[in-house]
Amino acid sequence: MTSTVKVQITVNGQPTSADVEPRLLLAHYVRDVVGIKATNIGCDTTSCGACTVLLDGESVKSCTVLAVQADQQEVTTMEGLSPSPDELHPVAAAFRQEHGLQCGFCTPGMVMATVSLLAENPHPTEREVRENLEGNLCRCTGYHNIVRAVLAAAEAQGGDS
Amino acid sequence: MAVYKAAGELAELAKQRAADLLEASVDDLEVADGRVGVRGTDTGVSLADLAAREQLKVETVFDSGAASFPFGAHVAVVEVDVESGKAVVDRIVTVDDAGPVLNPLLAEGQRHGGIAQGIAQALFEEVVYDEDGNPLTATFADYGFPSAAELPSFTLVDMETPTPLNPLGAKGIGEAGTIGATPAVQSAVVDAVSHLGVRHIDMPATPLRVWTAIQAATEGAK
Amino acid sequence: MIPVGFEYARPDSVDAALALLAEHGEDAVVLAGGHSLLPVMKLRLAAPELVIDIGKLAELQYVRVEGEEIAIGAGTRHRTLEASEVLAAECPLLAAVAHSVGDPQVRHRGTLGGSLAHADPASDLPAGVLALGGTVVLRSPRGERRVPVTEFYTGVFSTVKEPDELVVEVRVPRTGTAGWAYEKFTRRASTGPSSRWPWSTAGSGSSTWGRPRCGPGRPRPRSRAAPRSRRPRRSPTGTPSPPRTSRGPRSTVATSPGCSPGGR
Ligand SMILES: Cc1cc2nc3c(=O)[nH]c(=O)nc-3n(C[C@H](O)[C@H](O)[C@H](O)COP(=O)(O)OP(=O)(O)OC[C@H]3O[C@@H](n4cnc5c(N)ncnc54)[C@H](O)[C@@H]3O)c2cc1C
Ligand code: FES
Ligand code: FES
Repeated sequence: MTSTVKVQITVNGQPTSADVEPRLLLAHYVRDVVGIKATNIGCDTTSCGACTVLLDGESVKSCTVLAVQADQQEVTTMEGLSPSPDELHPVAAAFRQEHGLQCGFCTPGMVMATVSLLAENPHPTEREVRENLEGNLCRCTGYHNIVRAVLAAAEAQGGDS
Repeated sequence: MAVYKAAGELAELAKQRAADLLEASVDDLEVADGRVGVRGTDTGVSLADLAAREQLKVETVFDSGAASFPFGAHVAVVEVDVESGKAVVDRIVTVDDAGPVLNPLLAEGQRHGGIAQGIAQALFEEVVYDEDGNPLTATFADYGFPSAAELPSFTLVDMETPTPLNPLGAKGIGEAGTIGATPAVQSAVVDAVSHLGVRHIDMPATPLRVWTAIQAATEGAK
Repeated sequence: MIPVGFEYARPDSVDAALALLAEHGEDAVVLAGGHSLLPVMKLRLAAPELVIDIGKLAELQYVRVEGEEIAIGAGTRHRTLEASEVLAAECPLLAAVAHSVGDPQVRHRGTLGGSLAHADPASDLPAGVLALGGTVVLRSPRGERRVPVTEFYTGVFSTVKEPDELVVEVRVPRTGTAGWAYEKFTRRASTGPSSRWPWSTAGSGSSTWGRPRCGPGRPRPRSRAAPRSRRPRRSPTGTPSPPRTSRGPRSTVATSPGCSPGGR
């Protein structure tokens, strides 16, 4: 048995803290320690992006980050994005509007990857959207409506070019 | 279709019961907004009230008698790098005729997903084993699953030809994308290198397979 | 998948990290971005007793011009390189190579030092730094040494780095406006065995300033005539190779304006 390490991670604006095994993955910290389940674990081999969350505002695959690596940092998951179900974050709203999901398994990861992309590049071209979603796999949609949703979200957010 | 038929039969049953209750002629009744009402008046009874008095239930079977035929056409434009064998899909245009569509949003989504999977089957996806039978494509790091970066946006053309075999004229859309896109893309790849003498490439047309086919054809031509 | 349990240390300076490395030797492993190490640990192909996390050491994160060279801290993330104004002006090849790595999530975590130290022949940054003829700066309690990147790699997944050494810096020349091209081809198991296909998995970069080169273990440019080599599943030292992490198949061709990509 290895020693535990105390971590303090702000999750969706709320301070959280726990003594964790160093090998605990951030995905499991969020799902099992904090207990919020929007973040999905798909491939568990850093390929599918279903587990994407924001770490200090940047997209990361939480199945490939240790909770101890996120100590003293801020994590944002899909739960932390929209103020309420009636008041969706522009990216979540665009996914709904453009039917950017079918089974929905990839969606939390896609949405978080999109939020990060638009923070870095508020006005991406279709090509840029496709290349920047390369780390997020979707079996259902063929990406067609996802790409449309991202472009619509960029439009809706306006952003400073 | 069975649901459509059952709903019609249930509405008839509700009208008969309501006719007795409201002392009206069945012909004067209409079913709307969860109520059976006498046309042109405020008089009526809710379906819930009717069902509370006596269960409203029908059982029905729908048999179309024969299979309906959704049909369509898929056209793919691909670019093949003859040096590496890599193929890229530039455009894909599809017509899928499913008959009258109740929910266009869902039907389009079904087509999108199918097209992507069809392209992937033609170019990327394959379960590979080594000579000892060990799976080499056990994770998404090894299995050729396309991301958004490997696919274009799709052009869908709508066409609605009803089938006479059922009252809604609806056919089906389930596998239209996967059925059409695969041969369209695969044939486009072969066509793109046919000037070099290539006549066939096994699926998926991976760079190795395309490159090997080009080598074989051009060696043969020498 | 969950790694075998390990002890964790997060030293607050490079010196403290070096002291820990010296103390624990081969039982310890350095964790930078973790995007090569953690997948391997999750598959239990590696099970270090101590993980020394250098990922938050600000003293390893910088991109700055020093004389005729650009000095880059080993802990600098791919994303920082990709977006670096210094690189855009002084060495755009390296920024483009960093941009071609994996996907944004990987680029937000992976580091230049980790990529070079990992020595995966399929990786991009070693190819870029080789093309540029850069230098790897290694530090241990015994001191610091500068190794030309052409001498850094001894094979697939192996380098001249001693167990008590850290890569602390990578130096590349200022190429300014010299023309350049970078081409990459990603291969997967389903693409077919590389032994039968002459395209190297490694990216190769070239610039009018430097010579065309490709990644570690493959000191040869990609070309049809190149000898065919098989990507080993095991390195000469017997370290199991990590899972292939590059997605594909796809090729990325990036070039400076006015420089045509040689033979796509
Ligand atoms: C899905 C996915 C896709 C990827 N695609 C690509 C790609 O297309 N191209 C590409 O080039 N790479 C790719 N990578 C690899 C990625 O770039 C890695 O981040 C990088 O190779 C390793 O950097 P790291 O900082 O994450 O290192 P770590 O994983 O933390 O460490 C890797 C190794 O280097 C050692 N190490 C790290 N830093 C130092 C140091 N400063 N001094 C001494 N030793 C050190 C560690 O001990 C370990 O052995 C991909 C990875 C993933 C997960
Ligand atoms: S679960 Fe993390 S990338 Fe698939
Ligand atoms: S909506 Fe099902 S995987 Fe994307």
